[in-house]
Amino acid sequence: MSREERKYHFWRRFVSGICILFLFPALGRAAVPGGHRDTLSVAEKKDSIVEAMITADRHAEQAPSQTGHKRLEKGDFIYGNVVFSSPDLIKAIQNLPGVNAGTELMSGLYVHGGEGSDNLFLLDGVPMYQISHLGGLFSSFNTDVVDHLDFYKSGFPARYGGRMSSVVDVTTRDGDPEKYHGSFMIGLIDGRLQFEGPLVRGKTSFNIAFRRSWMDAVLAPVISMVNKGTTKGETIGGTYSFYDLNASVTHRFSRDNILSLKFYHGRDHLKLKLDTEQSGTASGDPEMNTLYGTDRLHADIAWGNTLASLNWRYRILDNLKMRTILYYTGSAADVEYYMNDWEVDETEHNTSVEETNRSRISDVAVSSDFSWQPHDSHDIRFGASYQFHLYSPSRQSLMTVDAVSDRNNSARRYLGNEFSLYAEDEMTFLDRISLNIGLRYALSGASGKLWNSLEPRAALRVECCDGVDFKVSYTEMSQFAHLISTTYLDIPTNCWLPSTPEIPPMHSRQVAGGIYCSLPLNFRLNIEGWYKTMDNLLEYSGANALFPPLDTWETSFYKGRGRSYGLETEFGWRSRALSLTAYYTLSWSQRKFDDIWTGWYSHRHDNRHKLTLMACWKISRAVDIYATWNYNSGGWMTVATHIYNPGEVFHRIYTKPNNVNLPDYHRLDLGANFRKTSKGGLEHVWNIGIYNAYCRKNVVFVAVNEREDKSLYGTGRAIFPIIPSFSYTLKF
Amino acid sequence: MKKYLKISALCLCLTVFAACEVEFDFRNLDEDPLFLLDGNIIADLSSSGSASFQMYLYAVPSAAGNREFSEEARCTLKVYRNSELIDVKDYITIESFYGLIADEYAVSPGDEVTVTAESDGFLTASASTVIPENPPAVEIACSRDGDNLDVRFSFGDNAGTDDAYAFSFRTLASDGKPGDNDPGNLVELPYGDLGSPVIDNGPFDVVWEDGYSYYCIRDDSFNGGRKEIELTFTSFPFSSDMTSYFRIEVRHVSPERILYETAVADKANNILGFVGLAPVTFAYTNVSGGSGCFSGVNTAYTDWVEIPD
Repeated sequence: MSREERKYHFWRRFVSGICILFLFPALGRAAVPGGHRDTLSVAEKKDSIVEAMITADRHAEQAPSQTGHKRLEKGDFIYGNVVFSSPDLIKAIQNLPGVNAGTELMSGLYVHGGEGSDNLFLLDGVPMYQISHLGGLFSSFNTDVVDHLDFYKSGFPARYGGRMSSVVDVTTRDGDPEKYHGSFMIGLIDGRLQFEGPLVRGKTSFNIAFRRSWMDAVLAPVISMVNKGTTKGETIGGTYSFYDLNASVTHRFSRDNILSLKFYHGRDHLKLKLDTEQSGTASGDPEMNTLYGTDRLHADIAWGNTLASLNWRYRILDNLKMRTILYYTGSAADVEYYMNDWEVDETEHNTSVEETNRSRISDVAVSSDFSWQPHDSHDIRFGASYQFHLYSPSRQSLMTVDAVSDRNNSARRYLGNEFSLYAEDEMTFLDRISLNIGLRYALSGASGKLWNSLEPRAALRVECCDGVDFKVSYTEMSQFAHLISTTYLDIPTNCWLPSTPEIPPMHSRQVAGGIYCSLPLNFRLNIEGWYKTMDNLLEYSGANALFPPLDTWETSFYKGRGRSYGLETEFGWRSRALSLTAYYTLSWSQRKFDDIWTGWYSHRHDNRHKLTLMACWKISRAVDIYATWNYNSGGWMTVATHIYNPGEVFHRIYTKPNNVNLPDYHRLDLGANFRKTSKGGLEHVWNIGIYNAYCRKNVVFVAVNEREDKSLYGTGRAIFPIIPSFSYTLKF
Repeated sequence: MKKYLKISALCLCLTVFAACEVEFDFRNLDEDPLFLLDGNIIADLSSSGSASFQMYLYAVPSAAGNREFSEEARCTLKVYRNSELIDVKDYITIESFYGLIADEYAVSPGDEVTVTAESDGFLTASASTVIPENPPAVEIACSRDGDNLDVRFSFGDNAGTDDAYAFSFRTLASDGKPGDNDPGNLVELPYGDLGSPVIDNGPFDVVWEDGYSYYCIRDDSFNGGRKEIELTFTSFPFSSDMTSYFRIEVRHVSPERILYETAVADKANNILGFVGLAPVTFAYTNVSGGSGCFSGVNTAYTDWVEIPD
């Protein structure tokens, strides 16, 4: 075998290994930071527009003017959004209309045609960059401490900014200042412990929650068995675990003067090892001595977030409140791998690759928000924020072929500054009309270039008659940070980089409007439409790479536009024990990159129809059951329209992007909770869940194959079939 | 008990992570075949005004349509020089999908050459290129370092034009200086290997095979200036009993060739793109109504340089 053939063979193995490496864990990572601003008070819930479907009766629909807003309380994400018996906040959002989940079990949010990196995730007002563990099986938000979340997909208030497509504003609970209590959960692959109580009764409290997976413990005996069963000379090793910690201390100087210190740290760690001992005889050795070597594939991947904030809430006057946050947020992802291919022909040969990729972003920021009610009909908010960003991705690679080494190092370091100002006024007229007018100005600089953006926000609500509202909104949003990725996967090799002289900020404009009806007999119907445009989107130019080309990233991406429009409906009914909800979305999502195709073409998540049906039946105080069925039309993929084989290798000619439609996606999740309260006041909850109950093979990725008659067909691979789960929770 | 625990854990993992396959047909694929033209017109300083025309013509069936062409199917290839029709080839069969077409035409630097391919059921494919000016003079310095050969060469670039240069390296062992017409034997650099995990083109932008290996660089970083390149040929085939000589074939190529070859190299390795997990590579083409690349080349050779011991 020639040196070139050895390298070619090695390359095939390398790619296969890397694919396995990244696809097996389906490492989930998503979204984002930005200059955001948050609601003024944790306790304040005036923003609720549409209450949660299932628990609609518990929260008044106070309905200010914004379209596309949803507040989810705890009850909304513990029923029907459970995987491995762990409630999941992101899954609850993915069920909502206008939101596409992307590839199965990747916690992606593709909102109104946006990308997964276009969403602003806030944890107590602090941007979070990586929002999931284990490819989205678990979100980074521990529901034990989450109080509620506000999700915006249109009609963004001026206090939010920095991302184009949506805002997920998660608020955690302050610890109980009066008594100690907590919960303990043990599931099939993870466990959680939460405890809260007073440090100084009535004044100072804490709330701490820790979660850890023990997949490593589950995998260990499996790997041990596999190693015993494998051919002599093969050693397989691997471990995966994640953990996260939420902690907060809150001190109440008075009812109107509260100081909180909040901390979050989450980490995923994956290690893989595959060693295969080889032996052979050199053809040029007349004595036929046996030579020994080892093929190796080692990978060590770790990624996670750290957030810390000091949050001061203070009522300056009866009608003037302030919240100031000083925070740090950072995301780090480290990928290290080593591969060695040993072969022998005339002599022995070793071909190896060592690669280290570090993706890092760190922000330090301060923001102040004020809420002022000068009059009953005016609720004015204004504020400012400053963020300092440090973007510092780097990569080192060393390729060695028979002791000849080739080293490549590349790194980028950008210091970014982002400043924003906003003001908005929620005005009420004639008790039936409310109008939210806002303006946000953002200034961002990195790499010697200053970008600024003036973003008008407007939303109008008219109460046509009792229980029937009409709303319309117009918003513009800018995004100064770009998640640079060479693939469609949310993997730790992706990195955040700022807008530069060559890469302008992304910008979106969106008009939304709809009618929101509370009908008799506890029926509810909302119908909303939207039209959204996006500018300066990036699409990788398609060269082969798992790691973004740091040295040339500004010239390695096409710039283009996007548009999305559609109609989404919510229909719900509830009784005391039973609630039924249906979400349906009819949508179009398209892209236009002049360097790729002359016209508009479908985005890969241009799923025409999406339907979610949810049911929850509280059979008794002790038992409740729930079911969720998700359906959406298949996504899109680019397949070669012409294939020829001048030699041994097939060559592909691509014409229009995303030219074939993949199979439809559907899935049924079932679950039940069994509760029992002991005499001592302890509450026991047993949860049984089944993910993908009828084992639908939903396609995650596709290989293109050729039949004997030369026609093409796709072989889709589904990763997750039926997944049963069980958990036990003790609340004390 | 331990045994049952292990079996349970194994079953759980298999259940959770067992991959499932499902087959399906693609819909809405384009059904029209197209022509792929991949060729050069190569002017040579040593020949008197004639250029070698070499083109692979592929009749590429649609992935979704009829993938067989009839025996009677023919393609007509027309060649124009500065809009003047200079040749018609109407006998090209396309049954076998592809073939090499070669000819000689009288062209000069600056001439625009256009080719068209026509056939029933196909869009007419058309591509044009301009014959580049003569390649620049190249200065070479060689030195031996054990089994390796260190080479340093430099050349000047035309200011104001978008130029690309391709180099091919040759050696010959001889008792006396080889003749200018002796092509020599190819020596290769460890660059541009598509089989490599990290495509390393060294100081070059792209590397391709066209009989020989060509190492190509575009002038975007040194437009109008002088470019110096240092190379090391490892395990160079020095002759033990004769003098070793070295020279470079220098090709001044039209820029569309480097764009095309770069995209082809990227596309061939884009495995994640093949399965829908990454953007595919849309190969550059200067062929309207078809695909591929037609480019002009002006080629020259340096003198043979004796490699000192």
